[in-house]
Amino acid sequence: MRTWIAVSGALIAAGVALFLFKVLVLGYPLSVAESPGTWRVDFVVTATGKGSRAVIDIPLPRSSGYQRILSEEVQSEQMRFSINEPDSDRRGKWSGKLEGLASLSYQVTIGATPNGRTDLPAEPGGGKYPASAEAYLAASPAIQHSDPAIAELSRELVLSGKDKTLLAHGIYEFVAHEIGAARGQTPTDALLVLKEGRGTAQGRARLFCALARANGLPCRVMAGIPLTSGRLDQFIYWNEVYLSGGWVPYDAVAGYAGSLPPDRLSLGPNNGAELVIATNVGAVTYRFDVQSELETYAELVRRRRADSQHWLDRLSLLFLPVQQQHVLRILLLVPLGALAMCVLRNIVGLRTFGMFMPVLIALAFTGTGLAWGTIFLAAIVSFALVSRLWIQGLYLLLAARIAFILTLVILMMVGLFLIGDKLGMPTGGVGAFPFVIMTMIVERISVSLEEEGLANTLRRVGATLVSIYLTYGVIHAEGLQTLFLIYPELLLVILGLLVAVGRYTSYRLVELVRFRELADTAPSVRS
Amino acid sequence: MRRWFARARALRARGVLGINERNGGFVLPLNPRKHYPNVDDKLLTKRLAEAAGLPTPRLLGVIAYQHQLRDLPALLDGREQFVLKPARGAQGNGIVVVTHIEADGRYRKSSGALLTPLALRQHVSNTISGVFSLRGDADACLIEQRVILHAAFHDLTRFGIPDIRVVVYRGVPVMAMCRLPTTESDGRANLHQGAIGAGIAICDGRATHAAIHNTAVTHHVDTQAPIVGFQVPQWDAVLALAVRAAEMSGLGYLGVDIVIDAGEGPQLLELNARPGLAIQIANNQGLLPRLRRADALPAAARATWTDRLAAARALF
Repeated sequence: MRTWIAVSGALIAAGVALFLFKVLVLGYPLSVAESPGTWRVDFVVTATGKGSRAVIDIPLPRSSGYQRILSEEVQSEQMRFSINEPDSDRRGKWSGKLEGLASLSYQVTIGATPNGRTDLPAEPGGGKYPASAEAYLAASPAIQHSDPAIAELSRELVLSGKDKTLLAHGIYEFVAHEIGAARGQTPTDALLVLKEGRGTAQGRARLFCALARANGLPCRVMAGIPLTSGRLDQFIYWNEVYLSGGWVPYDAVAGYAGSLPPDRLSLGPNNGAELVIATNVGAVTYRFDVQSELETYAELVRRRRADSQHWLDRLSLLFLPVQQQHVLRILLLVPLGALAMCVLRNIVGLRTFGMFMPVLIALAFTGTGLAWGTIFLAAIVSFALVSRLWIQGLYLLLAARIAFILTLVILMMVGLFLIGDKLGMPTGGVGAFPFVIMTMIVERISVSLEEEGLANTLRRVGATLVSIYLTYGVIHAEGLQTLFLIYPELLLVILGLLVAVGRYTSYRLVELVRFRELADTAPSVRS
Repeated sequence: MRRWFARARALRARGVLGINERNGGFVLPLNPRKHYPNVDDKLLTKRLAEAAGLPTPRLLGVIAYQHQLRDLPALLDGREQFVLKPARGAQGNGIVVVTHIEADGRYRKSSGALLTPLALRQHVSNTISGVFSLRGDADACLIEQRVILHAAFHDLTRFGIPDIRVVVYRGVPVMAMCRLPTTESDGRANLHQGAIGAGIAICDGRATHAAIHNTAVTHHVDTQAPIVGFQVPQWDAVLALAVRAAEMSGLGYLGVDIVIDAGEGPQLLELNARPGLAIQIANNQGLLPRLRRADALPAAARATWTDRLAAARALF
């Protein structure tokens, strides 16, 4: 007799148990309060092609001490994109025929981290460097470390290689305080910067490098993008010095020695070469659109569980392709919308046109939004309804009449596309409207008008709209979407609740009004 | 000041049956789906009733296919009065009552409106293409003898024909009402369209209470005749017909609609597997206590339909 309580209870308990297992045993986070700064950087290259094969080569970030790469995306138009990843440098290359203006972009989402250390130990000079560091002792273009002028300066500054950490600091102090910023695009060459006493960021980093190398300290120029929200078109440069068996950052321009805050996207060591290399291209410009992003709850969970081997994590929807996740976000909430419909019908007692029609319409409103969706739906339905009343006198057989209305609905949709295109209204989403459902609504409204009168029909239209809005609110609540995407076992809870609502045999709210006379002991009488 | 809603507790105290409980507690467990055609299809109901020897309004003809529309004029030839009825219609929709034929050949409906022969033919065509059918499926149109108003109802009827609804639970008639058409209901006996529901005592067939929509009344809104105390004619026959029709249907919880013809007496009109709850308002009583008392009847009191009838008259 009471098996439904057991079924409902078991379903709800199973859903809640899985949820709690994930949170309490597997350690799923429940809030995003501690999430670190996440940034989204769009590297946009605009190039004018000459109609022949072109190559555009850009530096790419990699996960390192500076950042953690969360996701990458590329828009290549008609060109091909490939990533070349040797030991230190990571570069991306667009290649292919390029005609006219093309906008190429590489988008990356990263978590920035502080890099380096402040308590550098004193390190005696001498000793051998590993081959990877040794390479950064040699001369590179525009870093003229063996030039007499550099050697002369080293003597003047009393730089010596006895303590490498002190040596690096000495160079940092000099470049940071004695060399000013250049106003124009030059000088970028270490020697010129030294002669003029001022330089661009790149030039100062090169001078730092030349001084270090002249004193036997492996040093390299780093390039990157500053993480400040907005649109930028300049790279930033700093240095890394090989100390205590690792690369330690120095930024003489921004004033950081030994450690850096998480304020930059590193594009890897750069030995003075050009960062963006375009071959066979008319004109190239580039910019970076930098945007601070709060790490979402879903991203936080995905990152935390990415390496887990637990079967529950490997079944997680978070690791499906993003496109499928977008579909699932809505799909997973449809049962919740249906549950809301059941509550409205069985507990409140609302009478709508069609049981799950409001759910379908709410889904269709995804593309248009609520306000425009309502306007378009009202336009289509009222046009078809007026026509339906008008063709009443033709006495068409049922199937033909429904097909006639269906055609009117489609015609109206076509009309909306045209009008929207001309007036700039978001009518594109109308394509997703369920035209068969709308046809049936028209038929039901006209039958209802005939049988139940205008007042009852309007009441029912109102109830239908309320249901649509409520369902729309439910399935488009972003927090709920994320919750169900991470914890799809909550669908079991919904099943349990559906069983409970299905066995709700007490009064509907509207019945409290309908039977109000019966509640009185002495009923009032009207003659 | 009266409140516009009741407390659930107050309704429960009076044993009011709600729609959820009716469906979940009575209709779903007691009415097997396989018996639904017996009640949803009036043609099938009529055939079953004939087989069981129960009176129904005389069938003049059936139009089930569009090509049979050609036979319509021959079928109606010489008849002044008849009723068109969809076999699977719901809530009286699609029913047309013709009272006589004008000199120009147009049909006069009971509501007073006129129908040309073409419009009448179109109505039949609509009916069989499923316009009034429960699910929009193809349907058949019954042509029946028109029921003549019984003299006892003269004071309580301006136009239309009143009918009797008896709710039968597990073979026991538990509650009854008489539905009196009004001007507002356009001559139809449907409560939600504004007909008056008059609660009828099972024991003696007298009206005890009446309501229009959800409000109590004592007199007919059109004729001003008193309703409470009105005696339904041939009550014994009405009640017997209700109990036997319920037995024939195979359903455990149903509404039986009966009309009383001036000449032929009580006639089975139709059966309803989900009888409405307004009968409680008409009787100013909840159904639940009566259902429980019917449940409590000993096996001996429910052996045959005559036993159940006697038990019900003693109880209600």
